[in-house]
Amino acid sequence: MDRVTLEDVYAEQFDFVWRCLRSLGVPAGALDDAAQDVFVIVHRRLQDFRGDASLPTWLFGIARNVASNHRRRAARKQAPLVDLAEELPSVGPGPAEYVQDQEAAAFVNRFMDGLNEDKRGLFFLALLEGMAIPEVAAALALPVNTAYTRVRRLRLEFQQALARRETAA
Amino acid sequence: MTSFTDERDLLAAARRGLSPTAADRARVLRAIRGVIAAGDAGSNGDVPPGGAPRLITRARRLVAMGAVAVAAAGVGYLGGFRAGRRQAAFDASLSTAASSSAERPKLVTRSPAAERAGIGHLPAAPSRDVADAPALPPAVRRRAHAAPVPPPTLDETPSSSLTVELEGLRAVERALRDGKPGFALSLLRELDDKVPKGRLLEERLATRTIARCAAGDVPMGIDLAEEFADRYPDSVYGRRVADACPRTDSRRSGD
Repeated sequence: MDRVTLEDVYAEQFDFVWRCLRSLGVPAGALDDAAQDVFVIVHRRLQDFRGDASLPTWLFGIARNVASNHRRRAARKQAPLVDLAEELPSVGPGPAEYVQDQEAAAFVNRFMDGLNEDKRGLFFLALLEGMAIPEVAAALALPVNTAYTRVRRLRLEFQQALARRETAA
Repeated sequence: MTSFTDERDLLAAARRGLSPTAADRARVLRAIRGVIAAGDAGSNGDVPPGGAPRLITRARRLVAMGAVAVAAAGVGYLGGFRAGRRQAAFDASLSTAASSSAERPKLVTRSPAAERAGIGHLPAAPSRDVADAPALPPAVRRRAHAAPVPPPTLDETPSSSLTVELEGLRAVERALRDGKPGFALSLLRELDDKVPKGRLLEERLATRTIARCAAGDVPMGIDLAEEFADRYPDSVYGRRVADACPRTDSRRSGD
């Protein structure tokens, strides 16, 4: 296997790690620190990465621990952190699409807030990231059939929440 | 409220909404480079076998250094009893001086470019957004080929001052996020006192400029963002500084 470098991992997986941290409940004000922590750990451990699991699966394990630490820290601090408005000029969607994406992200975040940690991981990997169920099962140390069943239930729950949202609208 | 009838559409939109911006990527990359550079300073830059944290290796070195120093002092003390108190004090001071000069030679510093290079260069074809991040300097070859550099003392290490700097700048960022530019400025002054000649000068100036603009501490006719851009034309913070500092009728307007 070709040697993977930190730069490769950063370039390819930073977005995944960021979404993962956000989905796992890291407060917005702590996202920078959490993402930094993940990649510093990656830097230290990359030579131990043998490729037995996929890179996202490996990163998910690291990000989950880091997210857990940051959530605990944030709970102790209880200091409100406000996002600094810091955006480079958008090269992507226009304002309407941006608002739509943010609304969708807020809805998904609210839904995930109601889930326990295991279900959050399942939702993030299987539904949000669209990872294959056997890989999800490996990342969460679940039997594959159990993962299938739980994802099916979770999807149903999510569809119901979505239907309620549409009715309310 | 936007209506989503299809679960997949909503999830795709949420995925985009949860993704980082180019500014997020660039900012975190710089922070990671700083932390890695801090970790590499004072060691040869290798990750220890088994991926053990470098801090442990350094702690072991310090313990070993301490043990050697204690042994040397003990030998000097015993010698002092034999030769008389006065001579002993002299011997002890000599042995202490000898041991400290042997164990703690002058700090060898690296060039600023080497200090900043925490990770190597980006891949040949980086993704679109990572390409927005500042170009990294060429990879710094490990110092294993150079003569071995003994570990410096903890207080003098470049890594410890860089850590103080990083921590300070994080606190400044938090203060800015909390909408407390005045507090951010006092934190920056405190940081200037603690680490007068730091390595993250660009970051300091960027946050100072943003804080000053947010606090309204802008002299008439002076465009702080422009001054920042003059000093660091390729800075990744340029846009953020410019956004924070509204344009004034600057020197160019002739007043």
